[in-house]
Amino acid sequence: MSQVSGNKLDSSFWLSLFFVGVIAVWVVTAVRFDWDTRLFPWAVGIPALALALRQLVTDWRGSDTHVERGEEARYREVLDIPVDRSIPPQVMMRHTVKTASWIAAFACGIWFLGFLISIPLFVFFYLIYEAQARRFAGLMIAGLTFLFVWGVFEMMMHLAWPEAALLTLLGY
Amino acid sequence: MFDAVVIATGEIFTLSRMAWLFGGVLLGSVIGFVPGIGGRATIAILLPFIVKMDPASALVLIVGIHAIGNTADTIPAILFGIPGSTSATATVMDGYPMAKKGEAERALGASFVSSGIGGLIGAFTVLATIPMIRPLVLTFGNPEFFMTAILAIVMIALLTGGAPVKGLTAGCVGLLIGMIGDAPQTGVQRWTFDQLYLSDGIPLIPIALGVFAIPELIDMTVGERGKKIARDGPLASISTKWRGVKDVAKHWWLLVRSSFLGSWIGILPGIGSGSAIWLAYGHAVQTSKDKENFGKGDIRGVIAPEAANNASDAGDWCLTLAFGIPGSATMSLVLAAMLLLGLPPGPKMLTERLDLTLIIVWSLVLANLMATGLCFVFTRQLAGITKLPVHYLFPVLIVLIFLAAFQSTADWGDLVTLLGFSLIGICMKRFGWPRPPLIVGIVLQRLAETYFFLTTKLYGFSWLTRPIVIILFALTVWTIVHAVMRHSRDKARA
Repeated sequence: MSQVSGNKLDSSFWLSLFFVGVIAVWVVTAVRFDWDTRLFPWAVGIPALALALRQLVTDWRGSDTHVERGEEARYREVLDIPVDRSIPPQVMMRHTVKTASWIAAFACGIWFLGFLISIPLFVFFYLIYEAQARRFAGLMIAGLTFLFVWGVFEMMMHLAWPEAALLTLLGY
Repeated sequence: MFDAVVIATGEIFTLSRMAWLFGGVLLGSVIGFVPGIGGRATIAILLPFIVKMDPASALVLIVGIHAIGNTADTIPAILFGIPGSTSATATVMDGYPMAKKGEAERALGASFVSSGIGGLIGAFTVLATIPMIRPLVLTFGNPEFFMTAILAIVMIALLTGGAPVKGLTAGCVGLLIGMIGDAPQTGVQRWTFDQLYLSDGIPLIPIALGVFAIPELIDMTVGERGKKIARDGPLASISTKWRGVKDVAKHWWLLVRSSFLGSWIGILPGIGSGSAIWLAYGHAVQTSKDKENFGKGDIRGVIAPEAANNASDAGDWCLTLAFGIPGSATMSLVLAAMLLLGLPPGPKMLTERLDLTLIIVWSLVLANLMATGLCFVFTRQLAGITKLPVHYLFPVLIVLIFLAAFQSTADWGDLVTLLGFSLIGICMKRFGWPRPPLIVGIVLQRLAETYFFLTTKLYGFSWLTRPIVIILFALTVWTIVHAVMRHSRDKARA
């Protein structure tokens, strides 16, 4: 995905394409519903499809304001918390992938080991490898996090934790 | 009415009731700040104990817990960009950028004071309008509710006017996502792919956390180790909570307008604070001459939604009591508590049991003051969190986000939703698509579709001639035309 201003297949194009796809699927599959059920999906979906297609064409032609006025304009014109533009896009992308991998690993840990085991493990390993904290500090923070979660969610709220795949495999 | 006011005043200002109220505020503060959980969990935990209490004390305790939840949900929104509840999503927009600039204390100070004053204005507005609530609610029929929802989505989608097509598309995608689950009018399952999890629709908390919190947390950790959230300036010397208070005083008129907007939205059934905050935020942007700082740390972007949030609370309570219509998940628990206490909600709560309703309104006033005071005292300590290294905070915050998402329905689907919408949120942020319209679309979908269906069935095309509809329609058209003209003007200048 190019971040270069003026490139025809600019990064926003792919997101526009994704939205066009989602909306198109919604509009087309709504046909199988009865009139009352599909009325609102069509009332919203058909204009939305037109808007998304227009945005797709704009991104394809590269004629939107952000291309004409520079990449910065794209972020100025949209009301949202801005991206830190002082960091090069490649660095940002690499970092995003790395942090997202930690999050994905935590999610896999929850699936395999369950919440109560994976929480202290995730906190500990992240602190040791990513924050390069001392082992004692890592153990303390992981332990305190576990105690908080166990106290509030297990003891007070009796949250129904999902079954961990490992425990299911072991027959528990 | 006057007799009921005297009785209620006498009942609330007793040592035991004040102790219950303060106890509720304290209890709510223990876990009230945990994102996605708030006062709801505390009320749920206490339900079995509440049954044994006298009704007035039980309701006073619940009000205390609820009030601190509404004030404290701002804390993670401002400090980490994690909305503590859907009512705090708008505060993220400017509160978090302020924290990044080292102005967390100022933002928190302004937020707590706005919440407190907004709550007071809301409570007194409801108190003054109790005799008129029924006719006031009835002036709004199905077409007016539908047009209000459409206006809210359009207003948020086109806030800056710089990217109207992207904003409107995001709003429509939000509406379409909100349609997953059973259709409100026919009960037909739409786009559920035979998944039980999707049959009631996707819960909002994992979506809000995925779209807003995860992208901000990822961005937070970019950079060198030892980096802090407040990276652009020293914390205490530049700004203090008192500067936030001064900001509120400076923008008092915005505070009052947002509070009345919140009170009005709170009285309307089914709309709730999730919409009130965005309408107030949109109003703050639209009525400001200098809009360019919104989204980058403008204090007005904190004051307006926070005032509207707490102001809508009193109306929400009155609707729950008088009509049995809960405006939020927490209010559903309040409804359950009332039934357990032998207090069936209904119009009698505004006539025969008016004293009890007024005790609640009084409790709201006092609880808002207590909650504001309690949070305000600890503002500096809370703001100090932004001086901790982000790499130490990150794993703990991720754990809290996962837990907050999971407790929505306690299903694996919550985590899948969180991860899926995190990806969408990251892409939207990186590629310059506005995220607020997506959330507002999802929040308002059910309301918009229900009233759209009722409107077309009951009124045909005649609803378009109703005076309030014409006004709301004109406002919607004006918002679109204004945004498109501004966009064209900007392009011409470029």
